[in-house]
Amino acid sequence: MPAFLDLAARCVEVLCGSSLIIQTVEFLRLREPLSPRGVWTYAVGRGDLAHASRATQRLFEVISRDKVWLAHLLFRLFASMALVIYGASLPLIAFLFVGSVVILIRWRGAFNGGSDFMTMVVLTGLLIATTFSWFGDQEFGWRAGLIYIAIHSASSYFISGGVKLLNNDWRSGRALPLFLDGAVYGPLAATSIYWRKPVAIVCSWSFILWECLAPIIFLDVTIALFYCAVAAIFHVLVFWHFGLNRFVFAWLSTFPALIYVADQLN
Amino acid sequence: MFMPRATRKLAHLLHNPQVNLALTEQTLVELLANDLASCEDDAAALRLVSYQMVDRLVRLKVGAVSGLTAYQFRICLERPGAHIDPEADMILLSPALPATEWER
Repeated sequence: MPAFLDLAARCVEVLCGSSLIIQTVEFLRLREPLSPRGVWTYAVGRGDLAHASRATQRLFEVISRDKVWLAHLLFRLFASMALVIYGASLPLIAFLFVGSVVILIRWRGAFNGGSDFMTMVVLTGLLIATTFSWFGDQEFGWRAGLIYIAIHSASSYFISGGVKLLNNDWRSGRALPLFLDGAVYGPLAATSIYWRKPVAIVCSWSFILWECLAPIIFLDVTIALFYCAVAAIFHVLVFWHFGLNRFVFAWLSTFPALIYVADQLN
Repeated sequence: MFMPRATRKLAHLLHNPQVNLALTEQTLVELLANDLASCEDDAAALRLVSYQMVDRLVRLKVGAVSGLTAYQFRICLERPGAHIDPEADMILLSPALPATEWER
């Protein structure tokens, strides 16, 4: 494979694997809510699978047992470490992909919203890459996988910005302090600068314009690097104010794909 | 409205299970509010998976209150920027439930 493609692929593997390690260690700490004593016990959650086949219901009944769940998470942890150390292979990525789907179903569709979605996007990209590699076309597979990840990552920013742009509360700066006030690290202090309308408007429009400008990533690799640097700061700020730590690493693992595609287009 | 609060720590960047769980609990309550919008009657609401899970969530939360014999909860929809009116904003009032059964 060309050196730059190889570098981008390796960076995605390392960042995605690291993101999965962080998520899996958290899931290992969160087994109680899925246990028979927890809120998400399978005894109640199986109602969501009422439409599924008996085989699927039986499968989830077995997977949901505490010891089986623990074993799955431990295998997932080792698989994520293997992704970081040795790189992607079809069996490894297939296991991580299917495991992620199972985890999402147990948490009723999503555990952590957008970060779950972006993790699935990166795993899908890796699945595309390793499937083609399995059949001998490694270079095409990785190109296709990285393009898939880049399109989803850039469009996630663009759509997020577009939604804010169409929302009057965001345009007027009203939404930002309300979100921060209701956030997990809230409420906002009465003296917070975010309550000041000019500050809220400037911050809101900065987010809106920056997100809506996501397609410019593909104009030039330098722009892509700059956009990704700003995006990293943006995600750390989102973590700082909203506690969304998984978002940082889920999106970070898409940046090599964005930079690679920007380079290839120019 | 279920609004979890936590103390911010830099270490949470790498390991933040309790805050992520609290956010998922909040999402669960919001899912129940959405499910209730398409529910035909109260009996159907009580059969919802989201209702049963929120019931268990409430039981866990009130389980720490000593001497409690029964509990009841309500789901209110909060309008952005407005104070909650427990009566006007209520979309569900659960039956009175015995607290002794909370640990299954």
